[in-house]
Amino acid sequence: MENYQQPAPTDFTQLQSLIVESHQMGQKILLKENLFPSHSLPDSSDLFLDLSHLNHIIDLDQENFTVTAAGGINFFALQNQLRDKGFFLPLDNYFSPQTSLTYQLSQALPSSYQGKYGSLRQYVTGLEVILPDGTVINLGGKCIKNVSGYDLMGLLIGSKERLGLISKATLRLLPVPEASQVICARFDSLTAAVTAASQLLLNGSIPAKIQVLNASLASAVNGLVFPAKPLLIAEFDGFKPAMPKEIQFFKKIISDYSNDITEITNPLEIAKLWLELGNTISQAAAKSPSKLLFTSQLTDLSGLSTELIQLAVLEKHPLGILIDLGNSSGLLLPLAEEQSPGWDWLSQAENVIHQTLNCRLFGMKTFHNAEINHIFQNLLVAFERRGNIDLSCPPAQ
Amino acid sequence: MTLAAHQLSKLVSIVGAGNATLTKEELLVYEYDATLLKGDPEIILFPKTTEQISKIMAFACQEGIPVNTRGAGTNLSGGTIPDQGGIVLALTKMNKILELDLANHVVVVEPGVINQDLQEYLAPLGYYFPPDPASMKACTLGGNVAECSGGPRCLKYGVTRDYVLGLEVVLSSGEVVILGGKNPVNPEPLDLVRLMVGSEGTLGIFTKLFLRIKRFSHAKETMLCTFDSVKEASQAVSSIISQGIVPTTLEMMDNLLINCAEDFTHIGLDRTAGALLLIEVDGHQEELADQVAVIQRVCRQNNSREFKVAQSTAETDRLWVARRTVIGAVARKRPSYSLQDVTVPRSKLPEIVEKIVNLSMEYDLPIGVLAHAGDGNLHPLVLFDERIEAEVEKVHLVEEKICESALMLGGTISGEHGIGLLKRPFLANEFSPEAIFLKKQLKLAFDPKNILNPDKIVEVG
Repeated sequence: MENYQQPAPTDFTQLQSLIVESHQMGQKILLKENLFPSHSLPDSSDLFLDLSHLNHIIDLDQENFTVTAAGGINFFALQNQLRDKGFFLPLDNYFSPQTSLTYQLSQALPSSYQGKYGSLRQYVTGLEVILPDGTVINLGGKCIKNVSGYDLMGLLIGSKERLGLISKATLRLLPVPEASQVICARFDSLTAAVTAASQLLLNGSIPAKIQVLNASLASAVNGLVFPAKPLLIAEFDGFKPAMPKEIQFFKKIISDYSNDITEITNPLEIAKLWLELGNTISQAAAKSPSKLLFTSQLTDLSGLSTELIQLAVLEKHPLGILIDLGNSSGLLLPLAEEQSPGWDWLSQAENVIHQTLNCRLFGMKTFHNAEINHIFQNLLVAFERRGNIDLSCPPAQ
Repeated sequence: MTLAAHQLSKLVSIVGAGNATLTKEELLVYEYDATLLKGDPEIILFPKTTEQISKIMAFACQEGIPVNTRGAGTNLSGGTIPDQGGIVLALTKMNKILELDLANHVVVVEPGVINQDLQEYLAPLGYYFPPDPASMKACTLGGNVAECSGGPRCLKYGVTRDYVLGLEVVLSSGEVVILGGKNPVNPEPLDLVRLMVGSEGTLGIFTKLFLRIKRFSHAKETMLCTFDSVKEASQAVSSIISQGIVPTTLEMMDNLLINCAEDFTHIGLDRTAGALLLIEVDGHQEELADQVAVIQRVCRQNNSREFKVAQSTAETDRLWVARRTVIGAVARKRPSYSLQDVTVPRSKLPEIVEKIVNLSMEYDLPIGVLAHAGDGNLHPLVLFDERIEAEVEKVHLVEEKICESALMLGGTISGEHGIGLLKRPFLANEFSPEAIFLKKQLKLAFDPKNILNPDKIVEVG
């Protein structure tokens, strides 16, 4: 990775200058984190911004429950700092411990808390964005509700540095839940684990997080001393009086599939569990560009997991499968650098995804529809401020 | 714009004579929405299919005819006013619930379905669609999506934007595209679904909506608390949330509106109270008693007068009838009203309310304050008589001053009603010229001929 240019601006003026210079030289600007969990090998001429010096909380508004932070702050560190002060930012994904706030906003990966708490975009109330020509625009603020014209913030979030670089953000916070508890259940098969988890949700349970790991991934997570079996991890949070009922309901539903259950109530142990899982996935992802992130519907996940596990068995080297039922998405990635020669598990897995109704892959570079792509290209022109957009008719389908 | 006879006849042929209106009397009905503004429609079309809309748009694009899409016309920002003439596309006949997928918490509907009809369809099954604007008995879901409607439940559950998973959209060229779908996560390169929500009919016409629904909570408690002043009620709002409780709703009314509501509903509201809070919490039954106790304590610390918990569903319903009908009930005080919509950071509620009270005195116009107080969203109701020109002029000045005040306090000029024509002049006060430029470019990227609800939100013509 040392072959790549990775400037680390120490203030926002430097950052702005870097963006302007790169834009003038026709150099693509990406975040440094793209060197690790990327879907493809980056181009060595690209500029990989390291925002780690721009890592402070600018304003924690305890009355309005908002935080404004510089984009380079580590996302996991931000969450921990907030938690220490009694605030909860219910957003999390596999890459939270290793990535910055700007990266999280730029990628908009599905949050593990989505099922109960909603998506990333619901928590962003304000943005400062540096456009490719260096123009700084401020959008939103501390208000929870805002319909003042087109939702430029929603468009910029998830735009992967193509429309501009998010330099600061204001996020809505919640109070830390009074209680939380994790419950793990081990199963004989991945399909049984996913089916059990689906049944839990279909019967009205609303865990804060609910994920299923295949045996290979479960055994790769440091500190998980469980036998190598498919594992369901569910976290419940809320007010103390409601917790026993939630846990009792979990046990009742899951008992049809597994009785091998462990409860974790110590907050430090809960935090460690999620951190270790995140670290395992990030490290595996950093070693290989071959991985699949997909989205589906809850009712498709059980069948999909059966097909994916059949495929994983054919690969001699271990493949990790994680199904996040809170947002109906999943991840498939190799846990060893080596892969079976002559066997392309990635293409096979992509075929499985494409053949499953409603299942879609992340990492799309363009839209399927020609007219929408034409609009997309026009938006790029507008944000890069390359002059007037093309008002002619789009290409025919 | 004046449509030629051959253009009118082509448009009628697309939908059929029974689904088009051209008479002067009938056109009058579509001149206005829920604001004081009026337009000049030339033909009203009631398409029944996406294909018909696609054909209408292809023709409109070819001929450069403005197209104003409309649901029930309950819009509060002049977003549906056909001020440049042309076509009014009324989607009220596209009112079918197409698919219900309870397991995945998705319902697929046509845009003309009325919000309340969907709620009544879902309720017996134990589900609901969280956005609940005050006009829910009349407003259409297509309109809700176009305006990104809110409602009392937004504090805990979010606005319409948070419940739209996908859209079938007819673009200005007539091309039909599907954005997003039924999945809870949209992996497309840009989130165009979210962009479409709140775009006020200016980027495309929604013909199918993929909406996320929720299961009802196990239990809820509804509380009514009165205070001597709006300031004390506002302080109680901030205190409740800082105690770790996010109520489902946290609604506020001032004395003027308490009296309007009581005149209309006769449910025994305290006419002498300076303000009331209507608070609702939901969740497991086991956790609600503790939350109610905390809220009661916080209200008491903020000098509440009276605190009561609704003891029956009937009592809860009565309280909500008072809240939902209060806007109409003000007609007993003055014949006209202008309903404002600004949002400020929650901690600024007392300050903006004070400014509104001062404006009421300065301009000698009664102003009632209604607020989704938990999310800092205020709906000041300026009461006047539309027939008195001097009063109308004063109302416009007050509207501007309220927007100015919200912006000075770090707020926004629209929390849930949109920009339309009414707030368009104030948009430049909230955004920099660069951001306005991007908004204009964005409009043109989708609608290069500026025919879809032209010049609403931003003026590009």
